Amino acid sequence: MSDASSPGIPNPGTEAAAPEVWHRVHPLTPILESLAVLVGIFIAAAYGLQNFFQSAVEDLASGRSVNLTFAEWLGAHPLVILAVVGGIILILVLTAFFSWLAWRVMGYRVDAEAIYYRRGLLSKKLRKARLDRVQSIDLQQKLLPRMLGMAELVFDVAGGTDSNISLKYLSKKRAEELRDELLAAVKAKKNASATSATAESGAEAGHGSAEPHSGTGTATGANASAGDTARFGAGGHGSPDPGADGEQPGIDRSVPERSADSIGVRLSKRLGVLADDVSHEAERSLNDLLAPYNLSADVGEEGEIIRVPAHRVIVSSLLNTGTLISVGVIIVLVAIAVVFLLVGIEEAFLPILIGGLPGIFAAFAGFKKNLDNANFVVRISEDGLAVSHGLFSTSRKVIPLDRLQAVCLHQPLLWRWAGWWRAEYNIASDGGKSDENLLLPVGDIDQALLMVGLALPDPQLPEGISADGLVRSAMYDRKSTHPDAASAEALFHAQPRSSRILDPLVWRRRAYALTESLLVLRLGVLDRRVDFVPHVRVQSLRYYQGPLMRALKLGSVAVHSTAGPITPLVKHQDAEDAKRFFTEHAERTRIARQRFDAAAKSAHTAPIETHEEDNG
Amino acid sequence: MNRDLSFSIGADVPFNRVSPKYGLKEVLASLTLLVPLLIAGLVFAIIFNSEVPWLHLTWIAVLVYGIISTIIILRQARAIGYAEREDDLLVRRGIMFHRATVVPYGRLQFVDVDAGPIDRMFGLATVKLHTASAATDATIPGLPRAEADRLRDSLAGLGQANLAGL
Repeated sequence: MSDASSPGIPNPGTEAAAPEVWHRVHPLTPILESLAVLVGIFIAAAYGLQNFFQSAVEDLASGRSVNLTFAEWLGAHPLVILAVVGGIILILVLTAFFSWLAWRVMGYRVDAEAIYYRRGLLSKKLRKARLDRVQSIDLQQKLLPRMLGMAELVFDVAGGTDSNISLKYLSKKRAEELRDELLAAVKAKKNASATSATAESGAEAGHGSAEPHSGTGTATGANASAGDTARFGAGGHGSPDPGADGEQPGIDRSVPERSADSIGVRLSKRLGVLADDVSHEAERSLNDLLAPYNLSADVGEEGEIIRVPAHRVIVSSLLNTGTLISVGVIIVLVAIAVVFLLVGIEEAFLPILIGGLPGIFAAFAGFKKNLDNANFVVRISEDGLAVSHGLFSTSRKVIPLDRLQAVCLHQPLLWRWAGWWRAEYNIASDGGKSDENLLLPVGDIDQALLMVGLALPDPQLPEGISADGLVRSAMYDRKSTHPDAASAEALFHAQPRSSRILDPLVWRRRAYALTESLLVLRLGVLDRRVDFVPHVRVQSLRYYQGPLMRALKLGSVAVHSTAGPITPLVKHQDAEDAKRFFTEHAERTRIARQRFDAAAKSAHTAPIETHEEDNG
Repeated sequence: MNRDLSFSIGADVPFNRVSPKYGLKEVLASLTLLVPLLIAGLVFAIIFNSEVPWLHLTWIAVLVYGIISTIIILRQARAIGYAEREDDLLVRRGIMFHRATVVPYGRLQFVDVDAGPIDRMFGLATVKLHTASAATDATIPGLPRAEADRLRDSLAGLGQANLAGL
């Protein structure tokens, strides 16, 4: 039995040579999975026993003799006790036996093409995830497995919510090893397919799959250019012996940087060049790339850049409007109940309190969900941003920055006094639940700027406006105290006066701004919100004008992004402006895409050419 | 019939209209519900003529609604336009509610051609464009079958361009 979770999975190459090697999961897996049932049985038994004892105690207390008829009956029939005990033992043995059988058929296999996961004693299930379709690999630890030092690996596969594979359970160490190996394999696989895809000039396009192209982004790094290395060295981030690294496939030797890539992607690529102990170099790279935002970030151990303490998450979730409302409702209910009690209608007291229970549960559930974001830690890594969070159970995942489609900053009304912001993103993947698309659950303005800066491409602003000036203007509208506020405000296209009938509050704040690479939307007057959509990521556009809007000469343009918390909409602009924005933005995004593709292609064909357009 | 009912957008590109049969098809589809209602209203009105004479109002209302909606449907059908531009497809529709969608060829994931039973009676089909965004609602209804197939094939060919940055 112990030969099972065989240590040291071979790398994908040798896997392919011996394709039918199945690895077993941790032997405790079936027990962990059926633990809920066992706990249920245990609770039922405890409840029965408790009833028995309670009646016994009550009998004792009331001075009557204990009702022992049942015990006497048992004493008279010792075989019954034997049968019960034997039955329990039989059930345990059978459970153990079937668990063992179930465990025998559970297993996973990795070959050069895909990950396979099989399970099921009676109805056999085999799930397969193609390596080049794997979007991300998350390491999850729920409470019980965590107590036993176990973890599950969740493979997010492109195509439908139900297509995820959850490989459970492995020992935590094993899970981490496997994740790292598979991440490397996935990356290598994507690089390979992207190279061939580019060779066939994207013959795979239009087949409903985004992967070949997301791969293209990474492939750029693999078939690297020598050109940027020079600049790199000059910048003082010299890579230790790039030639030696270049031998290994899948490791970036030197890196062409595209200004359309988000800053985080460029940072990751740079990190790929650097040696292991890089926190100092990483910090310099980070600050160098984030120069437009005037930020100085500290890179801690293992590339840690952000840590959100638990108490801040707790306070911020208490300041949530929803939480406050439910707290208010509960207080009102309790007050009513107390009043009833004082007046003397005692019968109403309990029903009212019980009626309030669902509210308390709902408030607690919301609160607990927020607690999941406690200890939110962000690290910069080669693959993107490595995020881990959770108070009782830890879950980790890697946000692949090269696939982010849109980013937003959000400030609920009550966070204003603390100056906190939340950052979320859209990603090119199915099954996006909004509470999982978090870049930052809560953070001060510097942290918010840092995360937004990492997730977005260089905004490429005109001379005299710094990126943080623009973002601050978008966040605080005319209340921004940044020195560039006046010139940044000039970039925003506000809503016309006629829209005040439709948006009496928000019409002064809501505005859009365009930079060379970004669309910035300033939204929300009470709950402030800022959406960012890079031009390269826009899917399609939609112009809309209803009869009332026509009477007011207004028009709206929706900018379509992938599914997620952000649905960018340029709302209630002047009709002619909206139409012009519609046609011009279609053109703008086309040019941005062309540049992006050209940069990707030239990185393959003409490695000398670089596309560094940093404006400092 | 040739008057351009829709609004102008997209720098005056020539828009293709959908098949004139599409309006008839939509009218027929709405009549399948309205005619039974009208008949039912008429029958009841005649049966209870003496007791509740105002029942006649119901079928008159249905008739008026039918006439107005038929006119609107016919006009709406004529206002649907699409233009295959160099780099994107532009679809516009609506007279009261102006809607226009632009879908870059490079963003196309796949193209659906649907034809329901009534569609097939008229030899029509609906072309639906899908991108990575669920919000993309570029649908061109009422194309002649051959034109729908041609459009699908040409779009599929154009969609081979790179899906940048996904």
